Amino acid sequence: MINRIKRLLALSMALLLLTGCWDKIEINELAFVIALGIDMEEDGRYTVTCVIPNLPVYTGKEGGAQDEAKYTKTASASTITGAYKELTTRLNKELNFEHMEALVLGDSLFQDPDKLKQLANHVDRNAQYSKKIPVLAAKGKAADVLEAPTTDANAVGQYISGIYENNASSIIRHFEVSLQEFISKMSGEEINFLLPMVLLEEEEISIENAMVLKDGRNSGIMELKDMERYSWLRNFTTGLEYPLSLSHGVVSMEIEESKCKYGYAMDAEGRLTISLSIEAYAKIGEYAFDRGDDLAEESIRNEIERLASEQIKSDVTTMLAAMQTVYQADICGLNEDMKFQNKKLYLETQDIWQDVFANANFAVDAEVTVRRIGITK
Amino acid sequence: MIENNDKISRHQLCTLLIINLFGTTSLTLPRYGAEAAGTDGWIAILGAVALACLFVFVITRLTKRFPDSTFVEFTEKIVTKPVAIAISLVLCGLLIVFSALELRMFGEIVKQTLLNRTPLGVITATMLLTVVYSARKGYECRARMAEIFIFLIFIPIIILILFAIPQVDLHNLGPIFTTSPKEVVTGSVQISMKFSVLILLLVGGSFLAKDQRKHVGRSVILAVILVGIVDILLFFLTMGSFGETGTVESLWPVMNLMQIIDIPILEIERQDALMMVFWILTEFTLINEYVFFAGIILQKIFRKRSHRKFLLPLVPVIFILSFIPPGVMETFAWMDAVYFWTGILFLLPIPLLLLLISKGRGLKEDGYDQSY
Repeated sequence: MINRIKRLLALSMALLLLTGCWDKIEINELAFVIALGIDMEEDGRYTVTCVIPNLPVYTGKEGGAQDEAKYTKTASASTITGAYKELTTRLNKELNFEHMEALVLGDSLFQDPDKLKQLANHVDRNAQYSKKIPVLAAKGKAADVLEAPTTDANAVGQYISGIYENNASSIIRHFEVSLQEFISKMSGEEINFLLPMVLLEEEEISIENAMVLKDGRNSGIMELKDMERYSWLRNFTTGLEYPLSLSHGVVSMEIEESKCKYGYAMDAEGRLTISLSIEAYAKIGEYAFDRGDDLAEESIRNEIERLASEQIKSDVTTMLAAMQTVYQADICGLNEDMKFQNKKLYLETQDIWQDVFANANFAVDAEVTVRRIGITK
Repeated sequence: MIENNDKISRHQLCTLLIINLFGTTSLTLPRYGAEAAGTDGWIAILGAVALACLFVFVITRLTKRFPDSTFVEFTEKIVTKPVAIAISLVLCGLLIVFSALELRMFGEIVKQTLLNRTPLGVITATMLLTVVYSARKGYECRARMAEIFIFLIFIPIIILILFAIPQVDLHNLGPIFTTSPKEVVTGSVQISMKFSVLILLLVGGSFLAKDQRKHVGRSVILAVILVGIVDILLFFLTMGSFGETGTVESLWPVMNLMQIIDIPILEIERQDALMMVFWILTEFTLINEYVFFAGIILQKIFRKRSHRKFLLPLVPVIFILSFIPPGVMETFAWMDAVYFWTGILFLLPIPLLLLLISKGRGLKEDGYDQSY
């Protein structure tokens, strides 16, 4: 009898504990934040903009226009957590960030590295954010970008992540910075990196350009052409369309892969020389030629390869000069590469790297091989 | 399943040990390695594994001399009864403190990552009651559970490792061989204290079936090496993904790693919650082991027939102890201190002393198998 009572007690306790969950929240009581935008006001306060889908309209359960499929909520406070608390006074649901697709930062944030670090610390410390989501800088206010209409029913966050996911051959894909990468870069000693930008022009959202961050501040905007030049340094060229101007037309080359090898040496005067050796493999997409010429001719391919090599050398040299003079930062992580290539030199220069980089010489060499020419000669 | 048979095979012992070692080392060892020796932390972990193998060698040599006696019983034979009881009570106390701190850490991680509204007490009480229920059922029950759990634990680990490899930036792993040998050696010793769960071999050795005692030392060392290899892999993956600063600053770097991996088949965002399945199972097995052996030691000290009557009274003790550290950082500090003192006493000095005395006095039991 005692054993029966004990078993009944144990079963009852198990039932009590297993039938529900303390953390249970009904799905219709959750406000899923699809995109988050953060701006900084003039007084240093954060303004947080959350894009939340209106699920009954979004899923078609209720009728409604496309712009009613989502809504935004905005709040300001001296901390991001404070802004969320302020939002709870006006939101009848619990904020849930587990399905967030993008984080957009207003360009005002990039004037104050401390505020940016505080933001990075917030997203690092809180487990609720997915660390895989893309982080982008907005031209202007993040709130304006998030409130823009999209061409389909998707909210802005999904639209942005869709641009990345469904355009695998675009070089923009290579410049994607995930939230984890953003946190890692912000926790480094030197905060020098590129952050892709999301633009809102004529009510159309695009991901073009990249913001150059030096010491956590906006040091300039790199446009698409410069991003293409930069991509040679980081082997981001897969899918890059590289047009070559010839006397009788333009050759369209698509880069299939490239590899940039670095060499480091210090000369007698203590000046660093960085040698870059770029090997690229390309396929010809379009080629307008004179009657009688075709790409089966080795001499024509050699000429194209020679011209492409020279153009790459010129582009890369231009980019390296811009890094030294315009952006004044090693945004390529060359000293990271030195860790294995020349450990001794890395240890000697790690504390004075920016000065060493500013005065470094570069020797660039490029070699292009046309691997494929399509299905005709 | 036969309850309270209490005899297990060599394979089951190794499986339990692997799961227990994972529970104590998997989530945090990359951070300790990075704190000790930066990018050379893998060398410190390697050194710690070597030290752990030495601890295993001494402990298994000792327990093999008394295959049918528990720690309390053979210590009484080697040294005087009061000394043996004192040592056993210290060991029992350490196991109770270990279980309380592991329980607290379990509660903190679950609360921060999964169930942030649920009170900490509810999370820890649920785990503790389940653990105690399982501990009442004997060692063979636990060993058979471990044989099932090992697959549930290793499959997510393999998935984690495979999908984390593309996230690694090789630049974060360098420069190598720049840390001073002194720092690496100090780090190895400190990290080897995290293998304190090996002290359970002192008490668990007597549960090995007679025909399974041959080459048990070798098998256990292989188990330790396997765990060491996985820990070093996890170190490379976390260091490669987050860099030295990111790894050192993260409380549970492997958990962060779970958050960034991209598994194409699973279209879910909080996949770290799924991957935590393996960690929760290891924690359950680990706390279970501590509570079980604390009960066994008390049973042997008080000469009772069963350890069961000691388990329920341990519940409030462990539960209250788990609430003593004010916060997460204090819990970490206490755990480091307890691991350190456990290691200092029970990983090598006490077993070595007991082994030398027993050898000097020619003390051993009939079932002593000299093979290793």
